[in-house]
Amino acid sequence: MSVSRYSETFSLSHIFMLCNILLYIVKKTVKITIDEKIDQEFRDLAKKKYPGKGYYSRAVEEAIKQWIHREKKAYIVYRSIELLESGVDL
Amino acid sequence: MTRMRLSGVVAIDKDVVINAYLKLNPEYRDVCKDILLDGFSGLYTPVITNQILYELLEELISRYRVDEEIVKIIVNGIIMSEHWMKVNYTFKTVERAREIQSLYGLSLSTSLLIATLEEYSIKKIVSGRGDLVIYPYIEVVNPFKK
Repeated sequence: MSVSRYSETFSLSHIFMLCNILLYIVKKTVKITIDEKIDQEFRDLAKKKYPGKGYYSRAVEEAIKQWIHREKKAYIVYRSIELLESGVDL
Repeated sequence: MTRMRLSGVVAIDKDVVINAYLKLNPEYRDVCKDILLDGFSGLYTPVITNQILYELLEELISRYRVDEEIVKIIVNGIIMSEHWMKVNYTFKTVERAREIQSLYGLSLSTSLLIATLEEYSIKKIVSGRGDLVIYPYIEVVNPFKK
């Protein structure tokens, strides 16, 4: 099967391959060291949520995003409390 | 003025937030600051309505000329805090507010605040608004009363 407009140069498999290359370019490989038990528990849950290839990366990315979001929120609240303690001069 | 200890679910009015953050009156600030700090710590559940958040923002910027970055920190701190409960109003709430307004002769702002609290079964508010006490079904705790 091919994409009619670009049938002479690109087939769907070529496009798929290109997408994978692009994905590889924008993604980063990270090496971390964590507790084995936590890792196993995380893997088991991640496998259930994202069955198939790349489940671990997807779950780690989701966890990191959630952590960033939570920390950003906590920092805003912290700054607000700090301001409450010091008071605003007029 | 003595420290106020709140428990349960309690609505917080804009005058309490303003007096807690701004150095307007040291005596009022101490009381209001403690009320808010207890709320941020989760000692009780502070409630704020979207209407109050808007009025707070407007008053801080237009009346007190507080720097917008500081206003953002104040308002976002309340919005982002997991201890604060944020409640919204709907068209139905506005209809009820108009009813309350004509029944008790209150301002639309106070009536909308009452209607929103009523909708979420919130029976207590910390506020210095004098007209709120006219409404019999919500307990008003005035932190500015000596």
